[in-house]
Amino acid sequence: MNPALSTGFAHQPSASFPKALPVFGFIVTMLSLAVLALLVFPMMGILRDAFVINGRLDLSAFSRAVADADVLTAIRNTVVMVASSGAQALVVGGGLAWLNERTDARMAWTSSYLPLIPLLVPSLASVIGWVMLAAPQAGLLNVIARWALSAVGVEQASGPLNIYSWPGMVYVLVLYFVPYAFLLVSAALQNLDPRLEEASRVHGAGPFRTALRVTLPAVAPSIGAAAMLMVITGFAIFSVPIVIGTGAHIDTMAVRIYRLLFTYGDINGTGVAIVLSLVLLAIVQCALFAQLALTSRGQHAVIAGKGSAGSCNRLGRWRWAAKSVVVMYVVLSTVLPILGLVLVSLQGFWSPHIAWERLGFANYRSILFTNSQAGVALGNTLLLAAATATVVIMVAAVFSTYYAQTTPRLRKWSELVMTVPGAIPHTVIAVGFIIVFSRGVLNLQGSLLLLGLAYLVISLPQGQRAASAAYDQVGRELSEASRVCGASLARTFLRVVFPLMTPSLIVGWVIVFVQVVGELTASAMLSGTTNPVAGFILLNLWENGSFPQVAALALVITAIDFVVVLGVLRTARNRTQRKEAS
Amino acid sequence: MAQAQLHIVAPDPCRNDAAATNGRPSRALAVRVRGLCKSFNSAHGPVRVLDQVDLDIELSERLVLLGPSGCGKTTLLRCIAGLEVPDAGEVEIDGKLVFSAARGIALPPERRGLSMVFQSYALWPHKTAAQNIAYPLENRKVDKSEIARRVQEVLALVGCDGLGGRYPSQLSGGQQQRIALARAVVGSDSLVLFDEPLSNVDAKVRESLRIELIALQKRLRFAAVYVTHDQVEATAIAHRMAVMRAGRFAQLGSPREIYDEPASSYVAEFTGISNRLKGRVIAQSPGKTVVSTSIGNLESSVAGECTTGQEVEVLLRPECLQLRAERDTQGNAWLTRIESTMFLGGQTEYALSGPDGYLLARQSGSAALDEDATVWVTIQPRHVKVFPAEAP
Repeated sequence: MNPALSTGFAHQPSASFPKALPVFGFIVTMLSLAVLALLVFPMMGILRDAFVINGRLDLSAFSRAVADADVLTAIRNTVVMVASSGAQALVVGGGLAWLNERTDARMAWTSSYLPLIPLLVPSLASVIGWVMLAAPQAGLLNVIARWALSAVGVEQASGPLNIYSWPGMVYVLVLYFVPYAFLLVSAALQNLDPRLEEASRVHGAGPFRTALRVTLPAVAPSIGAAAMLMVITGFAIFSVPIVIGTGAHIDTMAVRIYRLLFTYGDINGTGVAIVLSLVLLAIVQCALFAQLALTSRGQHAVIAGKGSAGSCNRLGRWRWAAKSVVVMYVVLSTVLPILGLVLVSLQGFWSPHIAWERLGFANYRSILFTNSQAGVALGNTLLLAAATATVVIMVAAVFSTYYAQTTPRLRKWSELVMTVPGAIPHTVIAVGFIIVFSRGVLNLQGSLLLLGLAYLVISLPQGQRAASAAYDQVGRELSEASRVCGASLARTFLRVVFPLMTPSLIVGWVIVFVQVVGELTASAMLSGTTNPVAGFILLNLWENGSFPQVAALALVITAIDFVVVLGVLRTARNRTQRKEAS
Repeated sequence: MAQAQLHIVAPDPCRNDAAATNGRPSRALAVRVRGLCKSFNSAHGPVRVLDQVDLDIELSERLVLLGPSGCGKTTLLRCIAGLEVPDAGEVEIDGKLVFSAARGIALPPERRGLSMVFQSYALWPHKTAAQNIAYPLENRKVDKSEIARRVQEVLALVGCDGLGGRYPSQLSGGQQQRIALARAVVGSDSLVLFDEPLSNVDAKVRESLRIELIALQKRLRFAAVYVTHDQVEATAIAHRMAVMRAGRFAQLGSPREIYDEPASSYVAEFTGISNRLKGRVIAQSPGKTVVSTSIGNLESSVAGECTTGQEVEVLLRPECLQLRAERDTQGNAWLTRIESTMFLGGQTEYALSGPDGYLLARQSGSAALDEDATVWVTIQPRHVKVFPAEAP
């Protein structure tokens, strides 16, 4: 029977029945409309600002954008950047997933640790970390490399590595994308019935032939979905191109929009920025639809599975090589950039010649105590992150439980509204917020509320995903059993549904919290001196060249993420374990 | 023989005469259902799952709803529970109107004063066994000390003393089902609904749980509505059973009645008659109907109304086919070859070759006849069930 068809009590097929829980329903409807307004008004604001001039439709912004050579370059650069880094990340991430799921090079901690890397280390921290390591003159790796080269008689003033270049930017992006590919492909491999591969082996194909001819086609939809996910995040990514692209004189779409709005101060720039935002939005929406189509097709490949452990290919002496690839990724993506940040953050100023006896914590003192702006920003960020995570998760939990009781169509719509912001680049959301919330009664410019609302919209998809997963996990019969045992709908929610959803909701809370702490794009565009947040300060310090302080602040943020993620997840796990273990 | 036995058990206390329950019931009923209809929307338009269902369930009666998946049995149960809202009709529980489409009454499940055992047990994983059992009492604002006492009492009743402090994940499937049962009876409701409660436990546990369930019902005297697709389970448990088909009752009666006098070939097949032959009526006289089939002419003394020349279906119960080396003088008899024998412990099944596939015969005891032996098959005319052929 279709579970969506058998409803709880809130759905009354006939108009003659009284509506169940009218108050609750009213509150949820009002909340839904508020969320919808936060999405619709900024988008409408964007369109009106760009194309309605003096009350008349004016499409000249389009022609101005097309005529702007820099805009076309930015679009081309973004395409090249996403395509090259995405393709490499698919190979690396997919390969790692195969090694971990299908060979004896698997390591228990990889599958749980790899997906957490982007959570634990904010992208900006690892980008800046790599700049500290591989900047042409003062990069620490370059210093070491030049020292080694001079030993064999080769003297260089700079290099050999240069992070401020196409290869440098693509390389950092590959590191950033690998967990996405790894996560999706290994999930597909876990769900793929290993008997398909065993059948291929039995019928005479070797392990690599099997991987290419059987496994690869079966997980192709997931690989496609991972590629689309990279398009969605890659086109909108801001942190990597603003740091590396600026130094390498490579402009991308997201950065161009930011520059048009904030750096150049050209009145015509706003229109062009909006047109560029719309192009970005269109590309990302197409990728989202492609991804949805691929995931629904991908279900064909998902066969029962899980029943037996996947077939395990023995790699022999290659096993250690394979294992070292995994370790290498962790070193490159996490350990090295953090080491780079630590070394630079302890110096008075960033120099290729480290004065070991002068290292100290002055930068941390400055960030946390002396530089009042930075201290306030950190406090604001923590407050906003905690508040946003709490509000988003609560709203999503209420929505997913309420709409599950209504008609399937209403449920689908509510889910759609919640997921749409996932495919709106943060740049575009910020542009919309600037337009709508800068005038009249709605003037929120320079307030924390403005940032909070933007973060709320940005985090809706994560919240929705966590809450609906949590709700689906509870199972219909568990709440029905409570109703039959004499508990009302409200009591059932409080005593049964909500407690059972809590572990998943906590994970969702952590994801939203970390995303808001590491958020850079909307922060850079909506924050100011009256409402500073960490991302804004980080960018300011970077553009002013206060590199040691940047490093210190990035590390402080990383440390906060570490403590919150590990702390909260650990308490949540302990609580559930106490119930499961005897 | 069948008729004689029927009269011995009669008058059946649970026998339900439609005439007696017309209008307001004169006696107390556990459940009274009238004209219940329910449709679901599917991709191919609305599907009628319940079609004008009437049902009376006596106090302390065990009523089983039997049928294949999709026949509406679970939907009927859920409509009684209030988990599903019917499109039309009325439901009364203990004389209280809990649902009436015409009068706009639809009480939620928590106000119907019943309890239910779910297929998946539906024990809440964040509560211990004792907390699970205590929940219905907490909802009724029973005293804490009274709750503790009742929980211990019920735990003992289902044979789970000492398991109260465990979480569901620390219990075996059988223990989980016992706790679910305890939760259903702790509130002493006069009606308990069972939604295929034993389909998730293994065969051995299922049999002992079935016996315990009947004992528990006898002791606590609640009315039980029990949904299953297992014919053996249904006949073992039921005072009365309803065989459902496409949202209607194909037959409602005691297991004995349904076994002996199936109302249609659907009911007959669903209650374990696996030999089915196509035929045509060639002669007809009172108490005697002759049907021509692929294995020859068969005489039936229990055929309903048929006319000569009518297309019919003949159903033969495997245990009614007698195998003899010599021809029996009475009844229908034909010569056949034993294709294979299957020793099943207490009985043996023989596959007999026929012109259209195999016929199955079941005899008690171990195999007395060899494979490939040629034997006489006999069946008494009173065991030859004849039904009008159904449109395909």
